[in-house]
Amino acid sequence: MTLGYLARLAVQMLAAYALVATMAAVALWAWARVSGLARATAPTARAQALFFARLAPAASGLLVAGVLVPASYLIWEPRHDSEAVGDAALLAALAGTMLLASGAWRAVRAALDTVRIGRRLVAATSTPPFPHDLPAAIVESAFPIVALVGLVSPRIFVARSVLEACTAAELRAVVAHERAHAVAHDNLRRMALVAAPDPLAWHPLGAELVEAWAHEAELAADAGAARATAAPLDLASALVKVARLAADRSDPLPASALYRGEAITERVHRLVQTPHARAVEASTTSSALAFRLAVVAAVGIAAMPWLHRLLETLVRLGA
Amino acid sequence: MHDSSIGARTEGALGPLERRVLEALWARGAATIRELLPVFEGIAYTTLMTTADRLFRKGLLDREKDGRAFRYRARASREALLLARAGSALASLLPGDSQGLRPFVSLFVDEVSRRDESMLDELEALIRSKREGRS
Repeated sequence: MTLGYLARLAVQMLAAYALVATMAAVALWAWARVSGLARATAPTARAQALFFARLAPAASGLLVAGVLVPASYLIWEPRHDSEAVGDAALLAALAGTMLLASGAWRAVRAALDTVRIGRRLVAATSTPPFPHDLPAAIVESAFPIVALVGLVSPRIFVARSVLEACTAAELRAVVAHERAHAVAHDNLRRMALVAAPDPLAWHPLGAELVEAWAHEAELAADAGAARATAAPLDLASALVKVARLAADRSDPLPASALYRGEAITERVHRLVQTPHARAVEASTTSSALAFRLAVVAAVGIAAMPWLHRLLETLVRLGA
Repeated sequence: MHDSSIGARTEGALGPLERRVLEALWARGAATIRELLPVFEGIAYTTLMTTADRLFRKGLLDREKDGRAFRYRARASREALLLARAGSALASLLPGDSQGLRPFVSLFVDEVSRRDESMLDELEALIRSKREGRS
């Protein structure tokens, strides 16, 4: 196996990544235009659908470039062929490299910021343990911060102002909400969404999908907390109290620009309509997932000869 | 996309019309004043233009020439603004540089402004009535 043989493979993989990720991003944009990010199911399912939709361009690019291209190349490409690589393939490979590098850069930069914020919060944490044996830390802050910080082992931080304003039952509901985020790995998901290495990172639709996902993830965490505590009204009450504390903070920054009154209203209305003991939300079964993966694998294998011929044509363009 | 410095670049609270313009642009992506006008019934073209210009000067909107008019776009998503604002709040509480709360933080509640007190009162009354109904 010569260096040229491997270099051509690398060019083909990167070029295929750029092309597939871009085509999938265009398809996603068209789908979003047609469907308008339709809301037809429960929050958990919607959050899941938006998450996978946003990652679809990068995931399909990685699948094709990382699995199908190398496999077809190893099967059909002659080992000692000294074929030159054309400008079109080199340009596409450069675009693929830039997409992947920019995604990695966004992930690293945001991860470092998260670590820094986590360290600062730990430094501002009070030594007395959080009351009611809840897995959270007290932050000495008048601003009503309630946050789940971190990627792998996220920690819950609750401001003293929230601790003082809420009852024990409300605090349990607040912590249950944050734990629901932790169980769903929402911070890791957020990292994947922010780092998604595809052209939508520079298109408004990318931000729109992340925002829609974040909203559904909040509703899903509310539903998860309501299930865990069987006390949705305590969570609703805590939401209003924390919102009131935030509203009471007077400062010159454009708090009204962040107005999400409609979000709080929607969340509280959903919670007051939630029965105390709620049934577990239906989720995709493992057999359904296995079936979908099998279909994807079958289509991928069937497309390999066609894919190889397409890349061969691309490599010869401008050579 | 998140811009952690946007919270620091803006000064002063936003008025109701400024907020509505931001909301409209978040919903549409980008638009000229003429395209926004149908959404703002009873608001004059010049009033809307002045409002968008003020948001541009506050650093909340980007704009580019579109023929003889400007096409406006929000500089950051609503969520990015929230995170930037939350980051500013934390930075003011904690010593050190002012790195914003960036992506990997889940916040319990979005902020509301003082003018939402009545909405919070209504929600509180709703919760109270539900509690009484269940007890």
